[in-house]
Amino acid sequence: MNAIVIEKKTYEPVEFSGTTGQYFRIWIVNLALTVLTLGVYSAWAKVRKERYFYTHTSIAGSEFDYHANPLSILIGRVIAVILLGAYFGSGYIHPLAPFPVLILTFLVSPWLVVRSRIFRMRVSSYRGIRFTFKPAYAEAFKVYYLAALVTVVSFGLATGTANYMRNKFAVAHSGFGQTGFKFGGRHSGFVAIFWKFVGLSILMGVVAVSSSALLLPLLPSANGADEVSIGVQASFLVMQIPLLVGYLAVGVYYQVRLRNYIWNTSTLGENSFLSTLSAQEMFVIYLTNILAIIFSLGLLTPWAQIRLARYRAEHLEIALSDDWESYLAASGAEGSALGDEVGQAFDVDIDIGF
Amino acid sequence: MRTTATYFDGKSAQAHDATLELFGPTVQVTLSDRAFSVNNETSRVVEPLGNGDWAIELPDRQQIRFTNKEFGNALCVEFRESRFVGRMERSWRWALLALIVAIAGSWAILTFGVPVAARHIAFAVPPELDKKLGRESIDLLDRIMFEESELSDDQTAPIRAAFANILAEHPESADYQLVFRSADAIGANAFAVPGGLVVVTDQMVGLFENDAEIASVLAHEVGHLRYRHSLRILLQNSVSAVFIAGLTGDLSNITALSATVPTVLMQAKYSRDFEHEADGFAFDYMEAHGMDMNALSNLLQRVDAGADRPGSSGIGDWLSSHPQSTERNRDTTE
Repeated sequence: MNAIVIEKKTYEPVEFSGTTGQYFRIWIVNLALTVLTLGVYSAWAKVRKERYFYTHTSIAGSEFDYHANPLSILIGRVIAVILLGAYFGSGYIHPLAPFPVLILTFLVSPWLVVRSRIFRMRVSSYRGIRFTFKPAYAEAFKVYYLAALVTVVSFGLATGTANYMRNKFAVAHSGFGQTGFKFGGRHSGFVAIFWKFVGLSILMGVVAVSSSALLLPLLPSANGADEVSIGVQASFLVMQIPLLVGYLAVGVYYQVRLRNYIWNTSTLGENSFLSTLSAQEMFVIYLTNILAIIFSLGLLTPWAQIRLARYRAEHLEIALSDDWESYLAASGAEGSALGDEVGQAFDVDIDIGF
Repeated sequence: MRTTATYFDGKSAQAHDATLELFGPTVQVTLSDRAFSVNNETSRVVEPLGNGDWAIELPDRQQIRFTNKEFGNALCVEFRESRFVGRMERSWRWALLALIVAIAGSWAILTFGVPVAARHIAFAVPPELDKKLGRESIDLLDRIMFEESELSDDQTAPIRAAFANILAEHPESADYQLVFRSADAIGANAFAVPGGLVVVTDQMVGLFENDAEIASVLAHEVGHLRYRHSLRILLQNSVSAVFIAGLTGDLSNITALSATVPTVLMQAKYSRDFEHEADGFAFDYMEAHGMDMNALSNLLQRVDAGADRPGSSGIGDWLSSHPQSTERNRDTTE
């Protein structure tokens, strides 16, 4: 074990041992069976994929595990498809009908967020103990509605505040067995990251637009063309590339800074975390991943996913309190909570990206 | 057969050293302070994916984890655990077969399965539904995009006459209607609103040079209506988007950008297929009446030339979702 001891704290790296060769075969078998079963197998595929990533991620020699029942995921996906169908279908009954469906989805989204967090945490385990998420529905409605209100009223300027509220809710209600995660992030921290992101976006916008302008003379003349050809359309697409790359860069910057900040200010019992993701490196990984996936017609997807998971794991360490073993011994299971039984009936993973 | 293992009681995260011994369908588990046996009625063995641990999952979230592969293999036989998928996932030969199945299967589903299913569903949906949607769509368009037509009855008379001629040959479409609107935003255009409404813009009327061109556009739009293209494109686009998302859905949010490429290409292909189908309907009519078969192509090239640049109007969509105007002839519809 390559652990470094610094003032009673032991920094234990998160290790990822997945390989592209192994995962490619799992991925392609998943894909083939999903196609053959017209999508039904996708729930089983998801479980196998998650299990591969969880069981190849370890801390202090013990690996994580993933236990979801594929049927729960399948039911969740059926519900999601029905909702999508209602959304598309209602547009056919009345052109404005999708809007109430959207509003309704927004209104129930806090409930959905909590349900899917509970599901995801409960099916994840480390050393036989499951992760948990508290069913704090009332607070979820308060936090999510208020965050949305704050964002809208400030015309997006208070996005940092909204992020603070939502992340605080997410971290503070998560736990490992009986131990809850503690959120130490500060409002000012989130606001600062958001404004740096805004500043960088403006800078990126100026750079992207001016580099598009520089590209303009290199392209086949759009003005002289007497017919609107595919070539001219392609030129306009090329002009958008600096903007797209810039958008990706600032997006990754924001995501990385938030992720580092949230990990580095959160604690689990006496243990803290050290996340050292670099925005530049993550940007290069994302950009090359996207290009690799597009130019390999999707075949390099497993390589891209393994590479991202490895980079993320390599840049996360857990600062263990000096008595990790006794902490683990004392980390009890959450017990058969009353909510668990009720939860089983709704034990579905609604797959909508929140 | 014996192996060393780690036992977790499901109540604490403490690891307990254990020894497992396999006696037929029963595993004897020996811990430092106690021993018990496990069989496949209350427990199941979980085969690792890749290099992960083997696991035996017991009731109450107890767990035994071990790495001895021979022991795991023997246990799977005794516990009658199906290992078919795991075997495929370890073999490069199965992976190659899976690759072929995945490519051929998605291609077959997206190019045959989805359109055929959408056609059957669309023709089973009562046309009354289309009528209601059509009325609401045109109301909405009137409010946000269209102005009243500035054409006189004399100017529209030849177009109305051509429309009546087309409908006369299709008595089941007798209730289709033709309306004129002015639309600076989209320029010269004609389209079919579900439920039997054909809209022609004033700007389009200004481009007509002869009766064959008029008939080609009107018959094309009637083709869209008769083949229920608006419902079919809705069905095909949503089903294919869900299907592609299901295949690529395990991408992280940012990388998912690359999944939009196949979706957009597929939807553009569906749209072009419908344009070809509507063209075919128009060409049948024109051929039967001995009209100039190049009329549609000639007219559309003038429409393209009239638009300043792509993206500035509805023409951007027209191009990506429609066949090239120069190719809109009989050859490409057959």
